[in-house]
Amino acid sequence: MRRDRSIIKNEKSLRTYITPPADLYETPDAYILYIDLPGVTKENLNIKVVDNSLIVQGKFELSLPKDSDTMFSELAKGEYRREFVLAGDVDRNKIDAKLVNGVLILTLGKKEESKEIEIKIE
Amino acid sequence: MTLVRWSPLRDLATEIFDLQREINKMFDRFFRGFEEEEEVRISTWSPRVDISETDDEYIVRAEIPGVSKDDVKVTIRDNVLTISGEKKQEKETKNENFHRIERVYGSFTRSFTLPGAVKVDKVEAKFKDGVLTIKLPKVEEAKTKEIEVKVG
Repeated sequence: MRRDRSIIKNEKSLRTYITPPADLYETPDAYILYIDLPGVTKENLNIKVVDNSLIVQGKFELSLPKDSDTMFSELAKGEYRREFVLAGDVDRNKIDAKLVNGVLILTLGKKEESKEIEIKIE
Repeated sequence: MTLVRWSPLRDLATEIFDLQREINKMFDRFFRGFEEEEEVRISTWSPRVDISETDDEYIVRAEIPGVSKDDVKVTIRDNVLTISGEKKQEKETKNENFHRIERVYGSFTRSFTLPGAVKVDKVEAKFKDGVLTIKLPKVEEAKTKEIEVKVG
């Protein structure tokens, strides 16, 4: 069973993806992840948690008129994909996603028991 | 022949400038008609663009994720199109509680000389999902005309 899955994984990795830049911050309650995904709409975005990893995948479609000449072509074309290994203290049920101006903002809440508590000295 | 004190650094500098000029010339030849105003670029980062041309218009697309609509400025002056703005960092790094920062921030400017005249009052700019799309309709005279030559 496990072997089969690894084969599938390898097949998938044969595709090339664009790796979008990401920022990761940590607060006492959560991890906040910002990923630049310009051109990706909510419909073309796929976020999932598989085992210990968080996978973000998004498509960027360019609609150009048929009879056009390209003068500058710097934009990356294709599919974005980024995989993150989740830390043990992430609560899988507390993951929020927002897409603002081409930036995906993921808030990964921490498990209640792994939150930092300050111990008062008496 | 005059005597000049030898300065290895100066020689190197002139050589680098010569090389840069050569490379610039090469690029100028390559992008003739739609060249970028190199001297205007002082910003730390510049958005990536796609520019395409149809018979009626030029279409400019720029990737500027994380910038709000109000922070983007598009201007046309003397046939030079300028896209400028500022990408602000969402989160304060006061506590230095970051694990990784890969995205770029700061102000940006990019200018392009348009190869032909455009209808300035008909220019359309849209900003959606971090992609700025500017449509610049060509002035009638700038459109390519096909003239059929009859061979008698």
